[in-house]
Amino acid sequence: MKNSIKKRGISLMIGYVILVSIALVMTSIVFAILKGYIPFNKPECPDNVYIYVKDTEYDCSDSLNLTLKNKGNFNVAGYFIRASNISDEELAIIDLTQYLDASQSPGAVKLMPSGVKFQLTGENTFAPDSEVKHVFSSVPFGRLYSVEIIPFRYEEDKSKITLVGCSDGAIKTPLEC
Amino acid sequence: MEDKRGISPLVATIILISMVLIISAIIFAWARSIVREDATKFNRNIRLVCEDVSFRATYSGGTLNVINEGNVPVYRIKIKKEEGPNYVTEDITTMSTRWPENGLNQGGAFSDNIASTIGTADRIIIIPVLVGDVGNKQTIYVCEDRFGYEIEL
Repeated sequence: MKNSIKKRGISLMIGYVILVSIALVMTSIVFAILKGYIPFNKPECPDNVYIYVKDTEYDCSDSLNLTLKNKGNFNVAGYFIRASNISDEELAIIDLTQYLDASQSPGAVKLMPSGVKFQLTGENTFAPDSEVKHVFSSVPFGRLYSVEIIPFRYEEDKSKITLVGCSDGAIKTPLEC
Repeated sequence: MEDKRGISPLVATIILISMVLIISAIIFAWARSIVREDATKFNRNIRLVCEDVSFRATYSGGTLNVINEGNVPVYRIKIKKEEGPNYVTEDITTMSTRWPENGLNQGGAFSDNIASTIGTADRIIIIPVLVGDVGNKQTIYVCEDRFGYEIEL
């Protein structure tokens, strides 16, 4: 005669329900944790984005005229501009954005707190081989020795427009009196 | 013949699915309070965004210059002052009143004399501090030292 051992446990059906629930919950928790690590293409500046200072007119006082030319292969939206009033300073720290004389710089717009756009629109409007003259006046830092320009572009990423600085295209130009 | 009575299979299926969903929601709500949610920035884990921070800094004659050359706004910086095996980390806002309130955006620059707070340090490491999102709130995240900018004094 078989000894029937009475074993008690959860009903199979309840067990399945709990297992499936736990699986769903663990899936959602792991997804929530890992979704921030999913790699994606972040907006970047293309190679060969380059503005150069074709000409400078500096009165060694407080007025600076720059003739800028797009020597790269892509349109540019604007640039960050900083100057240095120390002759051998490695980093140009003085942001010249607020000293832009918009009345003498056709189309130019200040992008506060930093940056000058070539046009008011949120597009890359400064085409390759284009030239423009921008004037910075009433700069109160004494003699400036160099100016550094970093172009920026608007890049689209998942239907969102992002401003992207092109630090690879940064140029530093000495200012002669 | 035994009469067995039970629920219709359709009703049973509906009840089972409902139980699964309800139990899942209960366990998820409980687990959420235990699992710490990481801050995100630009829809990415903020730890990964630290890798994209790009800035240059110089320290000369007591003046610290910092320029944000990258595309990630730097909300604050922490200065880790090392002297031999010892170090002290301070927030820039305790060392200077000129740090921009909203931090350094793209192309932003900072310059101030902080010699009095540097003391006799041999080396300083400038560590970026970012602002990230946790749910609907914003939180500050200090990047790891390896993402800092080292300057030998």
